[in-house]
Amino acid sequence: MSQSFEIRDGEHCDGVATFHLNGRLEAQEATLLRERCFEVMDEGVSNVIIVLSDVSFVASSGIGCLLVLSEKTGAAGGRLLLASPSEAVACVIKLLNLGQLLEVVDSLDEARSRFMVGT
Amino acid sequence: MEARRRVVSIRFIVTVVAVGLVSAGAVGAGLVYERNVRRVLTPEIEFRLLLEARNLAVRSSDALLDKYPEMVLHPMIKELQAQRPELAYVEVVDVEGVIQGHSQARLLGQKRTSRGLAIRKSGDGELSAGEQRLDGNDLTAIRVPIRHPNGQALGAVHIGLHRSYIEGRIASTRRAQMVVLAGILLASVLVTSGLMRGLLGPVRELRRGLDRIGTGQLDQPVEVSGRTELGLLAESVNDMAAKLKTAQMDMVEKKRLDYEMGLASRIQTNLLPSGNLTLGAFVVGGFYQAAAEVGGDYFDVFELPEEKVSVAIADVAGKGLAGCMVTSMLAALLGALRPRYSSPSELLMNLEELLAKKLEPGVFITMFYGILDTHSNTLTFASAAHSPTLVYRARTRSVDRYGTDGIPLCAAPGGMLARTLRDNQMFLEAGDLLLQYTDGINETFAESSDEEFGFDRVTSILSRNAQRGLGATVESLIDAVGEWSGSRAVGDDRTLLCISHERDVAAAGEKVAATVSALFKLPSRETLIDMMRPDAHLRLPAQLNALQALRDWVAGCVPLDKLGSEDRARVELVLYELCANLIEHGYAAEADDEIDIWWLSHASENSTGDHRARASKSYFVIRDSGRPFENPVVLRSNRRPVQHTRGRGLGLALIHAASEPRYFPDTPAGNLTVLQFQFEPTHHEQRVPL
Repeated sequence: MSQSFEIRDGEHCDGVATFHLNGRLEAQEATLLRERCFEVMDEGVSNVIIVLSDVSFVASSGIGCLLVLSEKTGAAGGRLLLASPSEAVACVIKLLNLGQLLEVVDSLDEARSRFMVGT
Repeated sequence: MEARRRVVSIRFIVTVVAVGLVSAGAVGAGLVYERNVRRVLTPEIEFRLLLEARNLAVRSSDALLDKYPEMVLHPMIKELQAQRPELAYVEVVDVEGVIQGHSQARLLGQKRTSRGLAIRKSGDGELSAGEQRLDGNDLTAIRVPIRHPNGQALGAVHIGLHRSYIEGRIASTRRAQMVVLAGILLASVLVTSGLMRGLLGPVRELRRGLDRIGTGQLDQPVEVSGRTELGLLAESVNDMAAKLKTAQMDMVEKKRLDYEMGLASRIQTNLLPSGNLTLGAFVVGGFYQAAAEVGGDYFDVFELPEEKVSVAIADVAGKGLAGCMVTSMLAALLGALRPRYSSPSELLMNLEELLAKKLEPGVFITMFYGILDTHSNTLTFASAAHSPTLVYRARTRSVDRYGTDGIPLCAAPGGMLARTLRDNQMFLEAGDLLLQYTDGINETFAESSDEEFGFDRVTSILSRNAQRGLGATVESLIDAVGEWSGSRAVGDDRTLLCISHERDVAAAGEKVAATVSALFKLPSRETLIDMMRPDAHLRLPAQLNALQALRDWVAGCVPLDKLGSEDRARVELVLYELCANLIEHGYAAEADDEIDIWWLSHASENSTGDHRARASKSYFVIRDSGRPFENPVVLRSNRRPVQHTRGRGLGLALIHAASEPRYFPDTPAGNLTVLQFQFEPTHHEQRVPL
């Protein structure tokens, strides 16, 4: 596992959990991320924001994890928002045409505001 | 600007407190005094009144026996009252209660009327029989019987006194007391205020001094004399300012030195090669870590004409700036001498000749210099007392050790070096790896003892890691030395020089080029030339955690530098996914094997003829020696919609989305996967960000 990978918890409020990722999102990191998200979802949070601006690389396993999280939050009546994806992330999402499956917004503020108005 | 803070003056506080205390004390004392005065004065006055009444009774007894007592009593009482205005009334009555003596003549002969005063009940030892004290609201009175010397009752004397008289007497005492109090207060204010002014004057001076220190004026001392604590404080402040000034000067000097050292360190870093040099099947590189900011170690890798590479590693006796300056000189001289000598020993002797004139006595240099011929796989080298050269031999899987008889440069005059130094030659076969190092490696002390790292550990690490290539060997050795010394400061420069004859890159490359040109009908010669470019190849251990190296290769790969960042990301991603697939499915977990990747740019340009909107096609050839996929369908596109994959098979989807992969298992060159990319020529300028 890349030593530089880091998941920073943002604020967990109003039923929205925020995670800032930093580094390379590969298989092992994806497992970590999934576990962390499942943990907060077990606590009743169903809306999750993942900030991807500092992700330098994302492998298919990382994308797979995001898809699973998207499905899981949806099943729990919430949503997964991906905020400010880095070029590497944007490239993969585009290549796989996942724009319709994964909800991507330009910034963390925008992601928050979407949850605020509940659209 | 900072708002001026409200200041509460100590002088004011102390004065107010002093005045308060003095006033409270004086008022308290006054109250006690007044109580005592009242206690003493009241009986005194009352006793005087009694005496007066008795006196009047005695004087009245004869008059009452007269026929006209009022003739005597009226003028006497009138005079008495004129003298004593505090007396409310003076009356002399006979036994029938008729007024016989009074200051007002019209009341004479009338019946005396009671004033409604109450007889004081409390015992009074001063009163004799028949005498009474009486109290009213604003009067205190006395009644004394008048008796004939034979005891016969003749009448009585009534004298009343205004109570206000007693109060007046007390008040006049109080007034005097107030004047004294006011005087004391005024004096205490003046004394306190003056005292505080005298004591606090130096504080202002101290404040000014501290302000000056705050603005950096450390030269002007605070001038407060006197033997109070403030005088001592001023001395401390002056002392502090002096120390601050010294510290400031030290700091400025240290900053200047740090800056100079930083500069020297940068210069020294610039002297060293950056990155590894790959030439043919050889990779040559090194590592340097200074003990202090700058050090006396040096290494050099330089490409010479005719596919040759010169390598050097040296250790100047002396570290720090002095050592660094010698290495700078060494670097400059070496730069000039390198092209002129084909014999390493001759170069070293010449170098000594040039250096000997410049160096301080006692400064000497151990140095290894070699010329690698990548065509004939030979290394010609000479060593001036440098550490033994270690070579891992792939054929025997053992480490050979090459010592030297050469003495250090500048160690002894008179051609001594020439007598001890000679050129040696060795072959470096495919898979061989040569390691040279300075004593900062083998003489590193253990964290908590004086045990050295030693040649044996260096040899053993080389032997264990050489198969993994140059990078892995250097990294393992540096890590091991770092672990050995632990938290102990780096005592000496640590420098490595490494030459690796990569196992079969050349051979494999040729085979792969032949296969690819046949499969894709590409011109074989151009394909081979393309693939043999040093930048166009990457060898990776077949391990998932090694795939991070793809990023640096794709970023640093010269043929790729014309791509936009998005295309580079795409290339990295697809190569990652493909290699990850190959590693996961084709290699056992513990396999110690490698994957080779080549980039073929020229071949791709030949494959398209449209010049107007030429979208260049490029190939990446990936060779693996793992177990071939039994069913090549694995690399066939997965047509299921992504949302049904539940995250699985996404890697293949990615590979197919970004490139056109073709898989050729078990070719003479191994399993080949060829990824074909199409890049828009200038798309990265036109494309709108996602």
